[in-house]
Amino acid sequence: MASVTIQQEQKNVVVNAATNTVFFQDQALCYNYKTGQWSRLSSASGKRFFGVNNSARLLGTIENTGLSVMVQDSSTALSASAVTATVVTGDFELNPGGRALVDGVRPLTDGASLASVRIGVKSLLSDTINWSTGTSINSRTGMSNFRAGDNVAEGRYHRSEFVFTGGFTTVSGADFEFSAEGGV
Amino acid sequence: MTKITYTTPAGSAALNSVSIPSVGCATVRDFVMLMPTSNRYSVRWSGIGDPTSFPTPGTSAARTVQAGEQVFPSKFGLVTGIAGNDFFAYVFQERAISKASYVAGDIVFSFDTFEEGRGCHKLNRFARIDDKVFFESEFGYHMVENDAVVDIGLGFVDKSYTPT
Repeated sequence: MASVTIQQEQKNVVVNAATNTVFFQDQALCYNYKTGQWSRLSSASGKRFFGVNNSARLLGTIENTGLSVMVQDSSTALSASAVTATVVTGDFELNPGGRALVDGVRPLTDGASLASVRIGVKSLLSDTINWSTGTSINSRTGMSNFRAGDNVAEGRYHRSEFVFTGGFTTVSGADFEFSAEGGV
Repeated sequence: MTKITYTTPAGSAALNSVSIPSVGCATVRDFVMLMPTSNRYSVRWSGIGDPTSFPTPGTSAARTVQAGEQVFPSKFGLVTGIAGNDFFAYVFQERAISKASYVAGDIVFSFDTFEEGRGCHKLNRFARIDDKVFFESEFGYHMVENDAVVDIGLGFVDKSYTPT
């Protein structure tokens, strides 16, 4: 009977259609092809999803509830509260070729726990970012304003930072209100 | 009766009596397609509608039942996987992917290599779901859909978790 040695170690790639995931055994990686998100299934039980950039960060668990398999978020499965999340945008040159004074920022998010908004300012891309003091959101306009005399966000490149203390689902963008200035 | 041999990862203990020792197989339309150990740069498929029929390729007996074989360029490495479905198959080499389309006649299957570079870097490191095939290459993690390769792990995942 003929046989050959193929490879010393066979590692599998497996699809789980119930959870829309592909499991790569080689690196214990798990890819959700519906959401395009990666996680790790590194625990021995294979029931827990961990972050790819933080092996201790538990994202969720697979719970076998009778005939169906469902993925539960760790915050509910473990009765934990959401950790503080910080979202920072990239740099924008709001006034191409010139400087700009930002009056306010309106975060576009469904997170009700937005605790603080800051604006980071630079004159050169190589400069160290200079952050304004964090402000809260006006409940009627949805804006975080930076009009106080000691909290002016003036410069050539701006970025914004949002700090959530109680979790959120999506952050889709930010509206900047600004006044164009000269080039110098 | 012809039987297909699978070889276990340890390289021993064939499950069935031998006719065509193979390292993998797939169902493609009405055929069974094998990765024979006799030539790891080739695939071989059964007679139409008969997974037990593997006449010698090139013979009149093979042409009668549309059985045959295809040898791939060795520069792309060994054949490492066949992802088949009811319409076509993707044949993975270590550094290339070809699409096998059924054209009937003496040719039976037409093989078109649409990816040269990314391939299934080790044996059977792929999985198919619907019309998507996920696989590992020497560069990272990818998906084939509609004859196009998508780098699903591009960036952090590929850099941090390069397949071994």
